[in-house]
Amino acid sequence: MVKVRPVMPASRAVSTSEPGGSALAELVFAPLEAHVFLRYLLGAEPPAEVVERYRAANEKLFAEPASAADARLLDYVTRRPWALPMLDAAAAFRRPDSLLRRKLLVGAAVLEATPDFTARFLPQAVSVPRLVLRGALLGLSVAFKLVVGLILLSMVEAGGDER
Amino acid sequence: MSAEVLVVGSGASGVNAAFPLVEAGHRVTLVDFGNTDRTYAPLIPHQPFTEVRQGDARQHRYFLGDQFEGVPFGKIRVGAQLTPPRMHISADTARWMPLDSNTFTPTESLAVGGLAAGWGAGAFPFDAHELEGLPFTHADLAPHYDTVAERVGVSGDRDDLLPFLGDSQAMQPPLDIDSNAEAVLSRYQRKREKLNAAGFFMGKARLAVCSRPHRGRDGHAYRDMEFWADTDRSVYRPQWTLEELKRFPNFRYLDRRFVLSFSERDGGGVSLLARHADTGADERHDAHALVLAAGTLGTARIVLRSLGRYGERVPLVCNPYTYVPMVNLGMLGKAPRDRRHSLTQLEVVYHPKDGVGMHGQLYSYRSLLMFKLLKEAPLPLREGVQVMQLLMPLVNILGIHHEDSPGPGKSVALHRGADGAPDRLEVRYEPAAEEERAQSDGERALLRHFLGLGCVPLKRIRPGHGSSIHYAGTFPMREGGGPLTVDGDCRLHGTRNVYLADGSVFPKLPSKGLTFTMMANADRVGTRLARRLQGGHV
Repeated sequence: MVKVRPVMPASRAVSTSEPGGSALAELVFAPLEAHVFLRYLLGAEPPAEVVERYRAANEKLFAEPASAADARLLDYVTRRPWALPMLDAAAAFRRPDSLLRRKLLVGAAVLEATPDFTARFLPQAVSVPRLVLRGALLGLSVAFKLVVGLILLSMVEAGGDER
Repeated sequence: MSAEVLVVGSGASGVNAAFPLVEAGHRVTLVDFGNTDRTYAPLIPHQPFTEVRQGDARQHRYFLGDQFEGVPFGKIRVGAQLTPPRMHISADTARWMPLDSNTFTPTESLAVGGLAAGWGAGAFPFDAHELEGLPFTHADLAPHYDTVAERVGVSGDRDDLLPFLGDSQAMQPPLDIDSNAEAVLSRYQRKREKLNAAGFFMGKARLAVCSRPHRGRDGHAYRDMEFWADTDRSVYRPQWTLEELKRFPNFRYLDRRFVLSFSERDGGGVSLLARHADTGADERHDAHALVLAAGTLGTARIVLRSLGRYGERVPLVCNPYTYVPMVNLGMLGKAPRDRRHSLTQLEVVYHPKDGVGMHGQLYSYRSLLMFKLLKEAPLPLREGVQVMQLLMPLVNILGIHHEDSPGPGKSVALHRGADGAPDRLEVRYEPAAEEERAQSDGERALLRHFLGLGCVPLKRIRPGHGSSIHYAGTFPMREGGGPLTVDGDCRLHGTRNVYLADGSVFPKLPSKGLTFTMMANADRVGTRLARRLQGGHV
C-alpha cells in the first residue's frame, strides 16, 4: 500500500469533538481526502484536473457541515487510507447514505465523465466461464472487506479512533 | 396581429390543438413561459455515445452538470431520469407553481415543449374499450390519431401488439432493437403461444420517433444519446411542431408569460391575464376563444382561480408506476452491439383473465452512466465498478404502468396564497389499499413471465405517487356534465368559449401512456373549434 502524505501537517488537524470541529475538519482534510479517495477509486495518482473537479463537486454538493459521525469516519479513512476499501464495503452495506459513500460516489462520477477513464465504466462482455471466475473473485474480495470493514466501522462509531 | 384564439402552453397538447386552427387560417397566439436549455445543448457533440465518452473533454459539463446537479443522492425519486440538459424542463416550477402534498410528487414544466420536451416518446392509441364513457367514439378519434401520427412521426411494427395499439397508414418501420432486447424477443417468440394464452403479449415499441427522414427531421441515427440531446431531431418534441407553426403568418408565439386566469367578456370573447416572467408586469390578452393546455395541474390552477373555486376539490388520476431492474440471462457471454438507442426497446401488454391489466416498457441500461447504478448497489466502489461492467450488458429495466380511476383519496384543491404569494395547489393522492394490493399481485405475476423469458428481477422500485408523470381527470369530459366538467368539444361547463385540450379532460387512465391520445384529442379540439369559428358560432 502506497503511503499518502498529508498536504497539511497532522498537528493542524482539528478535533471533531470540538464545537465547529466538523466544518473545520472538512476544510483541513479536503485536499488530502481528494487524493486518498480518487487514488482508491483509480488505483493510481489522480490527475490535477480530476482532483480540481472533485473539489468543485464537494463545494457544490456538500456545503453543509458534516455530522460528527460522518466527520469521524472521513477523518479516520483520510488518516488511514489502507482502511478505506474495508470501510467503503461496510458503509455500502450498513450506511449507504453516509457522507463517505456519497463522496466516493461523487469521485466515481467525476472519473466516469473524464475521457481518460471512461473505459473503466463502459460495459464489458466476457465469456461465461470468465464471468463466473471474476464474479467469484469479486465476491470473495467483497466478503473479506465487508467482514473487516464492519469491525472497523463499529470501532470508529464507538469513537475508537485513538490518535 | 389580434388573435382569434389564444392557446396556453407549448406542450404536446398545446401545439397539436393550435395546428389545425392555424392550418385553417385562424389567427392564433400561443402564450407560454418558454424555458429552454441554452447551457448544455450547444456543448453536446452530434456523435454516438461511446465516441462522446472516449473523446469529449467537456462531457463532465453535460453529464454531471456545472452545479453537479446530475449527481443525485438519496432514494430514487420522481424525475430521476432528468439529466442536466433536460433539467430546464422542471425549472422555475417551485417558484411559480407551488404545490403541497405529503403523498404525491409530480413533475411540472414551464419549458418550451412542456413535459414532452423530455418524453420517452411512447405512442399508444387507446382502444374502443379504453375510450368508453367519453362523449365520442373510437371512430371519431381515429382520423386524429392518423393526423397526429403523420405530424409527429411514429414508428412501429405490425406484430403481436397490433390488436392493442391499432394500425396507422402513417406508421414508419420500427427502430432496430438492441442485442439485449433481441435475446428477450427471441425467447418470447419461442414461448409465444403459452404466453399469449396467459394474456402476455410482446412486440417492438411504438414510438413517436422517425425511423426515416420526415418533415425536415432526420431518421434516427442510433447514437444512444436520447437522455441527453435531440441532435438528430428524430424523437418527437413539441418544439418541432412549434417551429412549423412559427412559419405561418397567422401564428404568433408569446413567451416569458405566466398565465394567471381568464374571464369571459360580456360582449363575447375571452380575456386572459398573464404575468411577464421578467418584468413581473400583468398583461391582458383578448381573443374570441381560449384553449388551455398548460398541463393537468397547471390548467387546474388557471381554471379554479378564474372561477374563484378556491378550496373546492376536483378529482385527479395518475398512472401508478414501478421500475424493475432485471438481469437478462440470455445475454450471458454475448457482446452487445454498440449501435443502439436508449428509448423503449420492447412493449408488453399484460391482460390476465383474472387480474388487472398493465403495460410494460423494456429498456436496456447504458447511457445514463454507471455511477447511478453504483449508488443503488451495496458494494464497495472498486468492486462495484467491476461488477457493473460485467452486469451492464445483462441489465434491462422494466417500467410498469397501471391503470387509474378516480377515488375518494385522489383530488386537488387550490388555496389562495397569503400576502400576495402565489396560490398553492394541494394534492391528496391516497389510493385504496386493495388497489395497491391488486397492482402488486399483478406485478408479481408479470415478473414470473419475465423469469420464464430469462429475465431475473432484482427488485421492484416504486418511486412514489406522481412518478409516471401522467396526470389527468381534473375536469372530466362528460356529456351533460355539471360544473367543473367539459363537454364533448372539451368546452368548460358554464363558459362560452373556453376549451381544455390537455390531460385534464380524461376521467380515467388505462395502463397505457396518455400522451399520444392527448395529442389526438387536442387535434380534435382544435379541428372542431376551427369549424365553429368558420361557422361563426364563436
